[in-house]
Amino acid sequence: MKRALVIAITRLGDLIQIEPMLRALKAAGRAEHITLLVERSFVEIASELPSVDDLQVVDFAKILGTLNGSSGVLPVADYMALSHAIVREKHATLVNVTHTRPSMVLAALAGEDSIGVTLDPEGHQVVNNSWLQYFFATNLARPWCSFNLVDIYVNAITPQTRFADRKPQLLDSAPGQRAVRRDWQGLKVLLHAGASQSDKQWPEHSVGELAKALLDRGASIALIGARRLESNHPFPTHARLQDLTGRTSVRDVIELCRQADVMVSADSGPVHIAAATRLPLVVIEGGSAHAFETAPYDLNALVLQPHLSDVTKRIPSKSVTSAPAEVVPVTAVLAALELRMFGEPIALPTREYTIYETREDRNVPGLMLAPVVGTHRAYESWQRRLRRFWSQAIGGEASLNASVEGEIARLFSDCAQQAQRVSRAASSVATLQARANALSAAERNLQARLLRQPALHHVAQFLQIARSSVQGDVARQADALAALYSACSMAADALDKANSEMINMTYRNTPSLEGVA
Amino acid sequence: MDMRLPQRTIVVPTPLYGGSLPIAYHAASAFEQLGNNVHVLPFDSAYSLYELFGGVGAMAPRLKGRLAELLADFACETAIALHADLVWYTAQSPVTVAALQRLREAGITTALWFVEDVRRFDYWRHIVADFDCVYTIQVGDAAEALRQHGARKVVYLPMAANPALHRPLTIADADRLRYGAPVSFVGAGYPNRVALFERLPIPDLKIWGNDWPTEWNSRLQENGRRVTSEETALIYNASKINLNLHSAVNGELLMRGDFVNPRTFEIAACGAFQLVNDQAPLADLFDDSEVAVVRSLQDLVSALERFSKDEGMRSAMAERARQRVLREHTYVQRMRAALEALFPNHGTVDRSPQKAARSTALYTMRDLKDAAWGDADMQEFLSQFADNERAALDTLVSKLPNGTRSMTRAEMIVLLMKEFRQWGVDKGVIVA
Repeated sequence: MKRALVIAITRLGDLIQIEPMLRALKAAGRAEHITLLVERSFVEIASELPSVDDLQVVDFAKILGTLNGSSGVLPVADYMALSHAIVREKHATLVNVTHTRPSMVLAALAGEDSIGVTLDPEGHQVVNNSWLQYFFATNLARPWCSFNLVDIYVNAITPQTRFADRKPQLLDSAPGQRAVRRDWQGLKVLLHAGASQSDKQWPEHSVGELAKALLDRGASIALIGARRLESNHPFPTHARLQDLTGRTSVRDVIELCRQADVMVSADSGPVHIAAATRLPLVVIEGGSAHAFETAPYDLNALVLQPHLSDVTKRIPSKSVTSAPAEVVPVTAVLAALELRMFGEPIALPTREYTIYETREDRNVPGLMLAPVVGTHRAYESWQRRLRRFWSQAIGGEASLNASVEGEIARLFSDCAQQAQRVSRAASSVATLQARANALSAAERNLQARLLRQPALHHVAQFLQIARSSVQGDVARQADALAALYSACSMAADALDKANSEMINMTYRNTPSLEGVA
Repeated sequence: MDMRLPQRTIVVPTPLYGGSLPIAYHAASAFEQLGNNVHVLPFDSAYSLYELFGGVGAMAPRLKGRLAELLADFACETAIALHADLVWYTAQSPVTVAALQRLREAGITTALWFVEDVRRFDYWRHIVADFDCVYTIQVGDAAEALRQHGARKVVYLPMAANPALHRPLTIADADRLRYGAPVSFVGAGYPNRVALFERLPIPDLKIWGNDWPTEWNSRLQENGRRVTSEETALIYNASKINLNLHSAVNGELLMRGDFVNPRTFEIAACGAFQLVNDQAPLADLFDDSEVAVVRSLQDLVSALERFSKDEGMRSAMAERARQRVLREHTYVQRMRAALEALFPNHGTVDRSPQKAARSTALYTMRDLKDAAWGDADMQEFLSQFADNERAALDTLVSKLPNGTRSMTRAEMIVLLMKEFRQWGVDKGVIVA
């Protein structure tokens, strides 16, 4: 039996988002049996993933508790047991979808061939698979991730997977019979009060204000969240408001999603549970969550994305992804609900956020976001171009109008040529050294150009990761680099055009109601 | 009573039947002698019910399983109600993963003394990961096999004897006639033993135990019934030579296996003479002046010839073996060692339900080496450190190659600890 080990020491939402990838592994014939390595806190959700055959559980309480040496013996035995557990079955395929240093060591312990980030025998980081190199690169420049996480994971296995096969599934999550609602009366709203990380959270007073507004309109509310409400919470006591905070299991949330008409939430695990049950969604992004990466994978969800100011000029960093969710006003969320449930058009000032709708991308398999209220024009233009670039550079999409006339395309092409020269280098060490130096010079030029544009920093990062991850002797490494640079060169037309659009945009007058960076 | 060890409350659920059943009782008795508050759960009293369930056809295994689960839950709830410090399981004691996890959440330590061959049974694979410590009577690969299936801590703990039961006896004439013989063997009819006795007819041999060929009427005693522990003591005492042939799994007649059976210690404790086939750990437990070791059929034939005529030698060796048992191989000594491995430095028991770490005593590299027993790779890595050196993670990390060469598996494990610590610090769950 072909076994796969998937290292997924991550949170609830991410576990749901890798579910389609697990199915792709089996559909591609790369696994008949999948063992998922998860942290103990997330065993419940992992048990709801249909493609998972077995769980290997890491207990953080046990393996972290005595590492600082202040009490108890170092848990060497526990770590040895963990090491043995992940190698005791011979795995034909190893996938690491977690991007932490401990997960790299686990991947290295588990085996030699892996998809995702691992360590080579000397302990240096290696990322196998272009899409996961992309994922790693965009972690350091999160506003510029152009693909939904579900699509990144699926593309790492089979980029040609149809959109219909990319939707996350949970056991027994088929949607219940939902009534067609024409107004607020009796609308059953599942309101999620929190998020796993405080920076993603929509302020509690905003959630409370929304709850009052919904109750005034005749809706019913079930309030959920990981923790019980504090005594000074802003929620009214009302016959149509049911407080279930701190009392729901994963299965409870699945069942609530099947019964509700709509969910309103910040980016959180329950959002992805709701998406798996096809529950209509209104999601408030912000903080470390960004809609282009983490939007719920279902059609017609509405996501309210705060604008990160000067995003096209801001040097990207891991810590800055979105503006805080608190900039999204209650009126906007109410209007989004009205649009989603009753189709009422919205007229709102949207300088600080855009409301996107999730749709199927007809050009590239996957989920895309279309602005329906407001716009962040320059940013969205970059996102479209980047999406095209990556689909062609690493996604296998054909580049129909490839041109190497643009500046960036020429720089990629130059690197490709220099890499090919290294690959054909004679046995003379001096010749090889000279050609390697020429390649390095070309790469420096390319890096310098990419780093002039904040939207392209992640491209530079991707190239560094890909460069340091190539395996084999000098000739094989050079061949791999030549192929990569060549593919990027063919795809770079999209980047050069994006750059041109940016230059043109600075001279355009903008309407006052449209948010433009 | 041993005044050095703190009194602990220990629950001992016994197996329902089988060879490990008396061992559970011996362990319980030893814990008591060490001054602990021991609660034995005599599940052998449920054996007749267990057997009764076998008469319902296809549902029998399921019903038996449910009975075993019920007993496992009962042991768990008893330990919780008593605020036990330890639940001591023996191989074949009813136990479930759910019960072990519930005990863990209740802050109760669990241990399994696996007094069987890991190669012969595989039920242990599903449960060893959930014990705080697994004790094995085997040397060599057994510890590795247990670790590969998740055992957190594996400790070598050989069998023993109970001098209260296995001791020199004054044999009445009637008992000598019934139980005595020039050569005796007590045990089950494993294939290697059957083959050996077929190939090597030994005059005046009496065989006691089950699963022997029924046509061996002349040698097989009392229709091959199981003998009690008390009867085995009589047989050992009443016989001139006790054959002690370990069971073999590989088809060999005399296999040099990786454990020493209880019989070795019991015969010695009775002050009786034995011929025993060589086993890997035997030389560490007894020497040639105490037990007569045979390594081949020729050895066995020669030894039978030689020792049958030399009563003086037999008596001297038997007495030396008995003294060795009393000094080093009683259940009291074993259980003391077991408790010291479970509760090092006589640490107090943390009863909080969220118990994760044990006492705050300083640990040394000796403790890590003990924890890594059976893992050659980790032992080699730890050999770089003196036994009394403090077991700090930074000390281990200082020996990592730092990108200069390929890392061993043991070094990767240390690196994993280092990375998890840093991750925990970054996330705020570990205080640096």
